Formats: sequence, structure tokens, C-alpha cells
Amino acid sequence: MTWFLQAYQSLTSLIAGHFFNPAFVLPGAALIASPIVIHLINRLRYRRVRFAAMEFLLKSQRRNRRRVMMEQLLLLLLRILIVLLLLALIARLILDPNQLSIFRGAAKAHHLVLLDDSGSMQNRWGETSAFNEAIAVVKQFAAEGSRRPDTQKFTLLLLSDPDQPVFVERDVNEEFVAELETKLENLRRRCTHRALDLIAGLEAAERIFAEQRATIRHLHVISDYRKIDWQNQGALGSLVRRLDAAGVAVNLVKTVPHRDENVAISDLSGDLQVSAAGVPLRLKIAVKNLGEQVARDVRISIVQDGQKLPLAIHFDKIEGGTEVTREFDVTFDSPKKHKLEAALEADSLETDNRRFLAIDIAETNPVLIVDGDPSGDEASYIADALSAAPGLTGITPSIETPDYLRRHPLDRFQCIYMVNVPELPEDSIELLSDYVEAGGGLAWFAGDAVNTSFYNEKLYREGTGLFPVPLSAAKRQLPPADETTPGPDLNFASHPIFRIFEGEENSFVKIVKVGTYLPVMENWVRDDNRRADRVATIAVMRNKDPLMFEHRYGKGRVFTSLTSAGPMWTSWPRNRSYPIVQLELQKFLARNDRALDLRVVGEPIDLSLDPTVYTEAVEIASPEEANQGLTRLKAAPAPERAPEGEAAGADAAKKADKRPGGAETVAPYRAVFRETDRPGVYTIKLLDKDQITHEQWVAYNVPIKESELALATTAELRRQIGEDVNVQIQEPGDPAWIQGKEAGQEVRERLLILLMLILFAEQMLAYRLSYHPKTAGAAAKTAGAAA
Amino acid sequence: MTPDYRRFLLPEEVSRISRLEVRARHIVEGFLSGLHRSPYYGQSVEFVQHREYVQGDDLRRIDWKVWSKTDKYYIKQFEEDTNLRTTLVVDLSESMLFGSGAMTKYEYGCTIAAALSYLLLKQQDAVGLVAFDADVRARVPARSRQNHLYAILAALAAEQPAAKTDLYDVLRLVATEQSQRGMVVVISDFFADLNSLFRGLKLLRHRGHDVMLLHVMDDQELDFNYSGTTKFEGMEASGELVCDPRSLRDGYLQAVNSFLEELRRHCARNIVDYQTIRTSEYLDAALAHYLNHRIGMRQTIRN
Repeated sequence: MTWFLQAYQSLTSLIAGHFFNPAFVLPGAALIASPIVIHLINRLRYRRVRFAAMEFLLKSQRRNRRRVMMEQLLLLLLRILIVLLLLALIARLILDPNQLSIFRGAAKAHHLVLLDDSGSMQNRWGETSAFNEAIAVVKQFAAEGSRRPDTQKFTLLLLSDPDQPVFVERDVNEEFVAELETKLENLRRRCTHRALDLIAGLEAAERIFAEQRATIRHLHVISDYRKIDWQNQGALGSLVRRLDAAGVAVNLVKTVPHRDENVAISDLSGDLQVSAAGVPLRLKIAVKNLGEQVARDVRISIVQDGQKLPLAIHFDKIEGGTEVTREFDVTFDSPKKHKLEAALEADSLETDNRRFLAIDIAETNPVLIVDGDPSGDEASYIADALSAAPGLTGITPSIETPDYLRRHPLDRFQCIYMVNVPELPEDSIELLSDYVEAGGGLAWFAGDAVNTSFYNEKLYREGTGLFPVPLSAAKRQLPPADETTPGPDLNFASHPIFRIFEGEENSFVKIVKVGTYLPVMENWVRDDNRRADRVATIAVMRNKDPLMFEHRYGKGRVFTSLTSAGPMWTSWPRNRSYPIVQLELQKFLARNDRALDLRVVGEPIDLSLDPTVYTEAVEIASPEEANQGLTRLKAAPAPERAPEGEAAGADAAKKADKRPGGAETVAPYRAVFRETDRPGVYTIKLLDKDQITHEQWVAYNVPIKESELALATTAELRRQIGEDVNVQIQEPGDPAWIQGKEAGQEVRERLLILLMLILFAEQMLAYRLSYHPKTAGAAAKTAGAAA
Repeated sequence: MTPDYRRFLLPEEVSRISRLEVRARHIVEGFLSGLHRSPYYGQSVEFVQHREYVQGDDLRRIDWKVWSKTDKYYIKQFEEDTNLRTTLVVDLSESMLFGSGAMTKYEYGCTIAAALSYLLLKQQDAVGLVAFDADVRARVPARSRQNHLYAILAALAAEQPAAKTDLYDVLRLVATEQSQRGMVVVISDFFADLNSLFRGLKLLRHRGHDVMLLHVMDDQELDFNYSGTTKFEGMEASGELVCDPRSLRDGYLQAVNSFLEELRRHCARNIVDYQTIRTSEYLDAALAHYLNHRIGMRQTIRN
């Protein structure tokens, strides 16, 4: 009896695994008997006929007995087969149990839904959006699952936070569905603006699945499947393959039916480091048409601190796939923090229509010019070039002696010019190094006073110091131009500093005359590519001797000119291109470590506070209306070793310790704010020990990557994943897969064709086996012929 | 004429067949002048040939006009007509009782016999009847009187089919009894031993009789249009069979056709008129068709 039960159970589970409507199978199987019964009944019910020509009938019967039996059997078999096929069609035979509706599997299954909530899911069309569609799919999915309560487990992951599942292995039932719906309604407003990594999500899913090998595992990835996310993503493909190999049924669900046109502001930037109150600040805006069609009449409005500026930035048309840029000037009257917002008209993706910029406008930008020769006036040429009149450029130059370096803090200067400095004491070199390393700008100008051996020894330091090249002992005169060395005195490389000299036949170049310079050592390799160090030669003399260099030192930049700043060795300072180059040089060198952060949404605000200066209270205001977005944090001492990703914070802490006054080594306080999903300007308020509030502004913008709305086609997805991998890809707006309506589609078609064939064969056979009287006309003709 | 035997010869049929005539294919020996060719030369209007006079010829037949021209004696020869002595041999075996339509084969066969009798008597020919099954059941001698028809009809009506068929004995009897050459019409379904039939036919032909076979068959026997499971109970104790007739139809038709073909071929070889007649056909039409199209009726018979 037990074996019978076991056999019955295994049979029912087999049926349940291969039929969509398993309830029909067993009663249907009983129907197979019907053709047999009909056949037997027909044999029992007969009529009697007294017949004269029995001789012939018996002869026929003797001759045909075997054939008749075979034909009858064949017919019976065909009819049984028809019943079987009809049964398979009605009960919906499915050869591959994986295809079966996800909720109809025989055993308990675990469904992990990975919901993409990246920025591109905010794509709206009509009354809906990609994210709304995705939520609808999840809802429908759970509702369908609850029709067989407590047989399925459900886990929901958001791609924005795959390590913190929304639901973990919850039994799917009515109660859960109600809870899920509430949760999803809340989530509906919470689609992020970030660019998210599908790989991270899939890996999280893989980790969850790795713990439970036994159950049937389904992974449903509900996303918009943008082309940019799936193009040449070998890692993504191999991850899906790995999941498949691990026995996870992967189901990719698309939610976006078509690509929408989209225009985005891709950039809003400028030389913010040189901004000053009252001085026009040149900003650059870039608008990208990410659609396929031409965008016409694109208008951009600029809002400064909530006030719309009377600026009209207007593009007549932007070709599909191209980016256009426009520069415009904005003047900030007051020296404080300002918020700038550029906004486009509405289109299918709202989030990328606005771009934010937080600018800390300084009163002036102080610049230090160290003149090594107090008697000379070389430095004044630079000072004049940078600030011909007060308030014109927002730069305040101050000319000092080398001694100034060791007596005053250098941090407040945007850049330092070293003009004709013969030597420097050790501590000055160290302070200067620290300054540049931290991000300050430094410019060297040569002159008569320069002690080349000191420069080589202390400043060049075999290529590790502040000076880029080793110098020859003596200055050199440039021989006048002749046939062997024609052309202008200087040849400029393409560099932001020398923007003015760009272009063919530039008249500015010709009038720059350099008479004397300090040559580099003969054995110094001139070719930048061969030398392959940090130094770039940006201007070369007519006789191929390098004259100007640029290199990075720490976070800062160093510019070096081997000729004088003033008219000592060159006529350039008297030339009208000189102030322009100097202003560009200042822009290039100006320290940008203090420029306000420009970040992409999602990056956490990681604060490292010096506990000797600040209290623990941190207040962060999100860019939301009113004070809803106000968050109060309490900074806490950082752990002993800062995690790798927060090395910057640790660096800052080290710096703080070194500062004069911060003699005692106290671990910095850390506060991390992660809710930076909204684009806009975040305000961080810090309170120092004297109860004075310090404000920091951080502008967050959406990643332009999410604005790419081109969709990956099913074929492309398959190509990425591999054609032979068993992955289901569901088209948008087609919820059939949830109910398994599509399951066994090919089988059904084949069965239908087979059924038609067998019905046809049965009819043919039955026709052949039966007698059919001829039509009246034909019968008469036959009778006539017989007569 | 009682209604009982009248049923074999209904007035409307009589009126339809009355213009037909039964003609002997072969030379028959009658005792009256009639429609049929006699083996003898005699007095008639139909000149045949001249022949040189030989001793013993009748001097009255010398053609003197020929003598006057040629100085030779020729005699004129003329056709002689005679009447016909026909024997109708009707099968009254049990198998003749089968019939799927309006008439059984027995009824149909009797109707043919009646119609032929009527026609023959009308044209002054003598008609006799032999009804048989395994043995001779009834005999009516040949007479040419008009009222002889009643005797024949009465004999047919009296006989109810019952037993099996045996043909040879019957035909041998007919052959021995009919000393003069005449016509023998056999009306049967021939569901019997064909060899005995052939032997009988051979005997009749040997005696110089003009033999005519009218093979009466039912539609179902020829077409076998049965369907559905059927139990066939054989007449004349030929066994029974439950089957799906449709599946056996082809084999059955094959067997029937080969039977008919053998019969037809044998008859053709022995110059025996043979005709299959379906019981569903109108008798008059069948008879008219048959009598008008008998093979070889247009050729001369004298050698």
C-alpha cells in the first residue's frame, strides 16, 4: 500500500510539474478509455440481415481478416491519440518545468525580485513611468503568488541598496501582499536619481541564493534595460551566466516599451576658483540631446539664489546625440555662498533638466608674489597684469620678500609667484612644498638672481622637487632669427594658459620676444614622451630649448618660466598679450581644493571634524522645500582605522593634527550623511566651540549616464548574456509570464499541428475504411455502364 | 386469373412490354409458321438462292425462267419461318427470397418469366416452364395457346422458395425432354455450383438450344451498401458472420465481380446469352434493353 501511495505521489508531482492545469490530467486520462468503449459497444450492437451472397462475404472476410484487424487497431490508436493530444492541450503540457508559471512549481520556491530604482527609471511617458510600471509588476507578481498562499517565499531588493533587502524570504500570502502594497506605495516616490550598478545587485542576489541551495530559486530583475548599462558589459553577462549555472532561474523583466526623447543639461561649470564678488564669472553650460531626433527651441533659465536671472540661453536646434555648449557671465554682488540652478523645459526625464552649482564667492582672491630682488620691479609687472585696477579682476596681489614665506600662513593665497628668487631657506621650501601639495599653485620666473646650483640641488632634487628641470650654470642669449632658425621666438604648446596663442598665423605669437633665458642642463632629455615624467614642456624657444613647463606637485600645480617675469630678459611683459596670459595662468594655478564640491547624487557626505574646533552637532539641510529636509547628526569619534574608501577623511584628520595649535592628537569626529539622493544644494551646518555656525554647501547633480534612454533590445541582452544561457526575457507591459500564460507556447503550437495531422490522418483512414455511396449522377452512370 | 398470380404480370407492365418480341438467336424447330427462322427451306416470300437441280428435288421448284435462258435446271430456294418452343427455367431456391428493395429476386424472376411468357404466347410461340430448387418443383409443358399463360402464372405462384439450388440435374432434364431445338431461358441468381451450371449449359447448347441466362441480382448483392456492425445470416445454410460490412466491402465486391465475370466469360464462350438484371431496375426497361440488344441478332444464321 505504501509503495502505491509513493507511486501516486510521484505521479502527481510529475503531472504538476509538467502541466499547467494538472487537475485535468487524471480525469482526462480516463477519457482514453472512451474510444475503446465506443468501439466495444459498436461490436455488441449489431443488426441482423439475412443474406444470400454469403459465399462472397465469407471469402472476403477470410481474405481481409488480418488487414481489417490492423486497420481497426490503427484507427483505435489514432483516436486514443487524439484524446491524449486534446488532453495535453487542455491540461497545457509543458515540457520544460522551468517554463511553468513561476508560482506553479511543485516545490516551494524562493522568488527574489531585484527592483531597479536608478535615475533612468524616472523616465515618464503618458500617465506612468518606468518605476511605476516596475512597481505594478511587483504588485501583480505578489498578488498572483498569493493565490497559492504560503507556498512561495519572496525577497525584494532595491538596486540602490542591495545589501539591505526590503523584504527577506517572506511567505507570500494575503497579509504579505497588503504589507507589500503599502511599502511599494511608499517606494513609488523614492526612486533614486543615481546611476546604479546592476552588478552589485546581482551579486547581492547571488549571495542570498548561495545560502539556500536546496529550494527552487527564481531571480526577477525588473529594470528598464538601458543600452548604456548593457553594452559591452562582459561582467554583467558572466554574472548572469554564473547565476544560471548555479541553478537560479533568471528572469529579466523589461518595463519600458520605447525610447523617449530626452534633452539634458550635462554640464554647468566655470573657473569658480577665481570668482570674486562683483567680478563677472564666466560659466559654461552644456546641453546634450540624448534622443534621436533634433530638439528645437531649447530654452534654459538660470536661477540664482531663487531669483530667475534675466538671461536667455536659447538653442535653436540640437541634433540628436550631440552636445552644445554656451558660455555666459554671471556677476555675484556679495561675497558669500551662492546657489545657481540651470533649468530646461520639461521632457520625459525630469531629473536631468536641472543642474545645480554652489559657489562660494570670495571678497577677493589674494595672490602672493615673492620677489627675490627687492631692488627690481619684475614683480610689479605680474601684479599689474593681475589687477590693473582694484575690483576689476577680483584678484589682490601682494608683493613680498622671500622672508614672508616663513612668517605668514600661505593657505589663504590662491597661488604664489616666485619671481627671480635666488635661494630659499629649508623651512621655507618645506612650507612651500606643503602649500603646493595641499593644492596651492606655484609659478617660477627666472632672473639674474637665480642661483642655479641651489635650484638644482634643493628644488629640482632629481625630479622630485618643486622645480621641474635641472638648470645649466649660466643664462643664455637667444641668437637672432636667421634662415637656419626662422619663425617667432617662442612656440607654444596647446595649453589653457596659452589659449590666446592658439590658431594658425596668430599675430600675438610673433610679437613675443625673448632675449635671455636659463637653459636646462644639456643631458636633460627634452622629449616629454621619452622622459615620461610629470613635467610637460609647454613653450619652446626658436632654437628648440625648452622655456616653460608645467607639472603637478601633490594636489597643486607648478608653472615654470625660464625667462624673467618682467622686462629684464624679455619684451613680453610690455606686450598686450602678457596680462591675458597672466590671468589665464592665475586661473590655472589658483588653488581649487577649496572650490565647493560638485558631486553626483548618492555620494555620501562624509564629514571629518576636528573635535578641538567643532562640537558634535551637525545639521544637514537637503534641497527640499521648507525645513522638511533638515537632518541633525551627531558626529562620533572615528574608528581606529578608517576604511579604505574614506581615506580622504583620514588624510584631513592627519592634517588637522599637524596644524599649529592642534598639538594634542585627538581622533577626528566623523559624521556620515547618506541621504543625498536628491539633486540640489545641500547645506551642512557645523557648530564650533564658540557656538559659531559654519556653513558648507555641496551641490549634487544627477549623473548624465542615467539620461541615456536608449534601450537594449532583447537580442542585445541575449548576446551579452550568451545565446545558450537559459534566461527568460519578458517584454514590457506583458504580464503573461506571471501567470505562466506563455509557458509551453511552442509545445502547444506543436501539439496543435500534431493534432491537426492526426485528425486528418484519422479522417483519411476512417474514410478509406468506410463505404461512401457515389453521387446520384455518378451512380446512374455506373448503373448504365453495368447494364 | 387470381390476384395471387396476377401479381407477376401487372397490366401496366403488360402494356409497356407488349410491343416487344422474343426472337430466337439460333435456328429453332417449331411446328408452326412464325417469327423464327426454321432450319428448313420452305414456302415463304423470302428468296434465298438458286441451286442446280439434282435428282430428287421437287420439280415444282424448278425456275423455268432460268432454264429458258441457260438451258439448265435450277431450283429456287426460299426461307421457311417457324414458331419457337421456349422453356422458362425459374430458380425457386431459398436464396431467391432475398430482396432489399421492393421485390425479392424470386418475385422479380417470376415477373420476368411471366412477361416473357406473355410476349412469346402473343407471337404464337410455345412456352413451357420448369421451376426448380435442388430438384424440379413444377413443370408446365410448352403450349402456344393464349390461355396457356395462366397455367404458367399459376405454377409460379404456387411455388414458394425453400431449398438449395442444383442446376445440372434440372438443365439435363430440360435437355432430355426438349427433343426439338428451341429456346431455354434460365432465370436464377446462380448462387450454386458453377461447374454444374456450366455442364448443364454445355448440354443444352450441345442439343442445339438457344440458351438465355437472366441473372437476377439484388442491389445489395451487387453494391453491398451495408454499414454498421451487422450479423449476416446466410440463406441456404451458408453460415453466419458478424462484421463491419464496410471493411469487407471491397473483398466482397471483388468476389462477386469475379463470380459474375466467370459466368459472363463462360457464356460468351459458349454463345449463351447472359444478362445481369438488378431487381431495382424496371422490368420492362430491362427486358426491352435486353431483347433489343441481344448480341448477334443481326447476323445471318444460315451457313
